[in-house]
Amino acid sequence: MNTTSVADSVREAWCAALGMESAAAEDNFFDLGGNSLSAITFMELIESSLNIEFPIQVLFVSNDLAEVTDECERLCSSVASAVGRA
Amino acid sequence: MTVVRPQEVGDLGAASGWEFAGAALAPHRLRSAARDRRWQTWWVVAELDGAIAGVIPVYRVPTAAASEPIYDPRVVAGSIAPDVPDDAREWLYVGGFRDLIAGSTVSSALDADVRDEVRRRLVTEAFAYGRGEGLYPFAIYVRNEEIGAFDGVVAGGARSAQVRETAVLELPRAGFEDYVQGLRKRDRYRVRRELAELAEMNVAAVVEDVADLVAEAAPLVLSTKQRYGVADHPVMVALRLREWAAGGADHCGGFALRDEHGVLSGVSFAVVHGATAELYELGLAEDVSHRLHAYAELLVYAPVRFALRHGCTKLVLGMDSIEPKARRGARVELVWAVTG
Repeated sequence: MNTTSVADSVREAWCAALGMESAAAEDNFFDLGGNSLSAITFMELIESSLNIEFPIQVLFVSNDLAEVTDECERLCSSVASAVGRA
Repeated sequence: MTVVRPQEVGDLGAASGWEFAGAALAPHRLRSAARDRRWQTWWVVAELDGAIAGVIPVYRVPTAAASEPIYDPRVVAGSIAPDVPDDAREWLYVGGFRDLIAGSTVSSALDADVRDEVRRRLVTEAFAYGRGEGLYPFAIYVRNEEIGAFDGVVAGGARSAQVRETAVLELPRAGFEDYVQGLRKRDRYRVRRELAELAEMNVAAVVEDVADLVAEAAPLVLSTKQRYGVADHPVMVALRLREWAAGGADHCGGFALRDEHGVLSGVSFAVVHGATAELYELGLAEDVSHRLHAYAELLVYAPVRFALRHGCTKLVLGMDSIEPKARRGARVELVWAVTG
């Protein structure tokens, strides 16, 4: 999966979890009305679309969408590396 | 006295250098709460002779409503909260709310009277900060041992009321038999009989590593909460347990009851800071055999054994299920809210 598609998937899950149509890189999940339950929805969407295990605390400590996207890209790379080694 | 973002404050060091009314107020836990973007955190910091003498955290939430009723001052302390704004963004939680405790963290190097004064000033400054920011300051779930720190703000017009109770067990250093021997006669008889029955039934919780136990324990804890009408999610339960276990305590342990196939049928947890142990979460399968005895084992006896093994003289058993705790020797302490 390339970088653009990870970012797209994250943004799509973000908007779906928050019930929004668009999101900016500097948006914070909780400032936009997110809570623990919508965070779980986001986590489940990310895990199914990117096929990674997403630690929910990433969302809790990230400042904005850009940071969450970076972490998802890193997790996807780790999974890809692990698959490549196998 | 200063109000700062936590990242501006240096390392507070080990929990053993601090006094606090509950594990959620230990330095590691304050720091992890401060990193969480579900709320905004400031610390009111008191300094003495250039060193930090005490910290009280204050929190704002970015949403218009509290995430759960247990964090809503109008629900928790309705009788003293008639003027609390409807919009939670105008609230200021003084002293915290996680794990249902609010209070300050003060240096254990200070004399007791100085610690009390530091606590009083921290509370006064926190309330003044809230008012100065146009917010409504309040503290919910203040333990009885700290309510004196709120005298100044109450004298200045804030209101206080008892909102809950918590169960606390004083422990003899000598051992489990002395705990039993120290119970009131009626309780002692009941406990001795229960312990004999537990032995006969071969029901005994085993201490297991918390990190290994979390994934298995979370669904049990969740289902127990749901039976009592508390909404939660296994992911959130597991996250809280992991954060709790990483809180810089002297010891933490999970108490596991397993059936003959090794499947977890009951679990509870406890943490030790200095001479105080604190019970945290309990989960029990619906179909566990010898249910009442298993419950007593996880709620009181296993934590008591753990606390005694680590030299504790006090075991804080928490705010729920007061009666079964009191019937096994716990005394009841008041829990307070202060608003305005």
